[in-house]
Amino acid sequence: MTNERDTILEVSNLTISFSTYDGEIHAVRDVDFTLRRGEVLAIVGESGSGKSVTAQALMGLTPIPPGIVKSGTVLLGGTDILATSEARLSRIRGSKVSMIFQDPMTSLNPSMKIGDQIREILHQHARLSRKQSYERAVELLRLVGMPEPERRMNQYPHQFSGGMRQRIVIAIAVANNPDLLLADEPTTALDVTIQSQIFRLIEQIRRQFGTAMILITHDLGLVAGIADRIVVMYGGRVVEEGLTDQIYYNPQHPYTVGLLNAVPRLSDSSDTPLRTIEGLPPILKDEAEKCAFAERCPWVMKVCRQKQPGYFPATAANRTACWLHHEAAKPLQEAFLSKRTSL
Amino acid sequence: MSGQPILELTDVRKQFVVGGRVLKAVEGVDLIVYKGETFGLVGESGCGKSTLGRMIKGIYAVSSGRITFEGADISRLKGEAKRGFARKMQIVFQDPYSSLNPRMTVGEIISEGLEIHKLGTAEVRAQKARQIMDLVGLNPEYENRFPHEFSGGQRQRIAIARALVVDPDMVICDEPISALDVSIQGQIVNLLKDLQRRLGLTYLFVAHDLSMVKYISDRVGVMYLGRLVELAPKAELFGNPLHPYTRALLSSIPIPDPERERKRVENIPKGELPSPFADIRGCPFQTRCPQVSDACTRISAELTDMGNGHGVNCVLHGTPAG
Repeated sequence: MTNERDTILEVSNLTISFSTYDGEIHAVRDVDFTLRRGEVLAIVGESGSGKSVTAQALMGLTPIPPGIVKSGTVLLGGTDILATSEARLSRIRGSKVSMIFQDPMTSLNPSMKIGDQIREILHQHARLSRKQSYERAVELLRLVGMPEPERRMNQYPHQFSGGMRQRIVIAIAVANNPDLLLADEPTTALDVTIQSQIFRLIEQIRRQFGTAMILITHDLGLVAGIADRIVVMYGGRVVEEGLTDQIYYNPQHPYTVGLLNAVPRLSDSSDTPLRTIEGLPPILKDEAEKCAFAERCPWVMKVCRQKQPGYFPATAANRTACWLHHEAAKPLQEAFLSKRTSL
Repeated sequence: MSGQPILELTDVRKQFVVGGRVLKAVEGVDLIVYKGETFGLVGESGCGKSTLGRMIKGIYAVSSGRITFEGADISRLKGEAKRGFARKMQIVFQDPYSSLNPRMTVGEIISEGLEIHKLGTAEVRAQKARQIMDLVGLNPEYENRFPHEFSGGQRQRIAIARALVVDPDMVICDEPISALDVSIQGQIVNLLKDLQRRLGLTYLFVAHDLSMVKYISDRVGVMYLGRLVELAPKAELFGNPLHPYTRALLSSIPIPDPERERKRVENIPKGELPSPFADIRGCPFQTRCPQVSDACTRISAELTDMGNGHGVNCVLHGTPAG
C-alpha cells in the first residue's frame, strides 16, 4: 500500500479535450496515476495516445484554448496544478517540477549564452549574488559532464553538439533540485551511443538527488532498465499499469503485448515478418463508448465494441482495462494469456 | 553474395565548403552492392551515410571517385541514359511530413514520376497509380486526398508508392522508419521486404536503428566520420563485430527485457563525435577508441579482408599504414 506521505504526485480523473474546426478531440480520458518520491514512472504510448497532453497538464502547460480541461486534479506536493494561478505556476515550474524536452535545440534560447540561461533559472527561484549563481552554474555544468565548464559558459547553443545541448538542458532542469523531472522522449533526437550516455547521466543525477521522474516514450525498448513502473496509454486512456517486470514478462492487455512484440530485437530472425499491430491509432473524435483498441485487437469480443471496459482488478495499482479479464471471458482470457509470445 | 554487382563505389569522396572551411563528409568509400540484396548502412548523425545515399541517387555530385550503376559511371550519363538512371534509382526519405508536396493529391504525387518519364497516357498513368496504391496497402479510392489527411505511416506508404511507380531497379531508403511510431515501423519494414521479394528490388537501407537494420539487411556497412570502418554479412557483423566502434555501437542498444537490460554492459566510447571540420589523420575513431595506439594515425583507408566477406579498417586487425 502506498504511504500517503511518500506520494508526490497524484493525478485523478484527468480529462482534456481540444476543440478543432473538425470537432472536439478527446485527447485524455479519465486518466489517473500516482508517483512516489524518487520513483521512475514510464508513460508509454503511440502518437495520439494522450501521453504528451498528460505531461503538459502536469506542468500546467495545457494550451487553453483550444484545450479544455474537462475534469480532474493534478496534485503536486499537495497543490492542485490545474487550479493554480499562472504566477504561482511559474514559481513551481523549474523549482518543484522541471521538464526535459525531446529537442534540445528548441528548448534552449539560441541567442543567449548558456551560462546566462542556467543563471536565469537560478535567479528566478532563489536570492543569489551574481558570483554565487556563476559558481553554481559552473558546478552544474561540471555535474552534467561538460568539459571546460568555465569556458563553455560563454558559448551559445549552436556551438554545442546535440548530446552536449541535452546535457545543458538537464543542467537547467536540475538547477533548483526539483522533486519531479518530466522527460518527454529526451533522447529521440540523439544517436544511439549518445542516447545511452544521456540516459546514464539522467539516472546518475536522479539517484544523487532522489528526484522522481516521469519518462514519456513511444518505445518500450528504451525503458526496461530505467523505469520502476509503467503506464501504457492508448486512445487517451491508461490501458495497463504495472511494475516494469510485470509489464514485460506478464503483460495483461493485448495492446501492451502488441507493443512489446513490435519492438525489434537483435535476436529476431529475418525469415519471419516482424510482428506489428495492424491498423491505425484511433481518431479521438468520439466519446468513449467502446474500447478504443477494439478495431485493432486480435482478441476483440462483441462487448468490446459496445462498452468501454473498467479496470481489472478495479483497485490495485496493477490494473488492466480489458474485457478479457472479466470473469465471463475466462476461457478466452486463458487462451490470450497462453498465446502471448514470451520474450 | 553471389549476385551480380548493380552498384559500385570506388574511392568516393565528398567535401562541402561551409563558411570558408572544408567539411569532409565522405572520405574514400569503396563499396559494391549486389543485385537483389539489401545493403544496410549504419552510423551516427554526421557520419556521412545520408550524403553517400544522395551521391548514389545523383542529388550530390561526387567530389572525387566514381559511382557506377549497372556498369555506367553515373556522372557521365547524358540524355536518354541519364533519364533512365533517374528512373531506375529511386529514393524514400526519412520524414514523410516534408517529403510530400502538401498541395498535390496523392494520385498526382504518385503519378508525377510517370509523367516526367513520359510513361503511358494520362489514363494509363492514373490506372498505374491506383495499382501501386493497392500494392503498398493504400486504398486507391483515396487518390484525390491530400497528404495531410494521412497518418505518418500512410504517408510513408505514399512515398514508397511514388518511388515504385516507375519500376526502379534500386531504392535508397534513407531512414524510412525513424519518424514513425514503433507499432507502425514494423508495418513499413514488412511492406518493404514484401515488395522486394515481389519486384526483385535492390535496397540501400540507411538507418541508425541497428535492430531494424539487422532484420532487413543482407550485408551491413558501418560508417564513422565519413569512412566505412567495417562491412560484413549481417550475421557476421552482429555475431563477430571487430571494429571497436562497431562493438561500442552494438553495446549501446537497449535490450527490451528488464533483467538483461539491467545487466547490460556498455562499452560506450568516451566523448562525442569530433567536429566534422577536424582534420584527423588515419583512423577517424582514434579520439574515442579505448584501444588506440600510435599506429592509428598512419592507417590506410582500406578495409582489410578477414574472410567470409568481412572487411574491417583497424590496425588491431592488420590494416596496414597508408
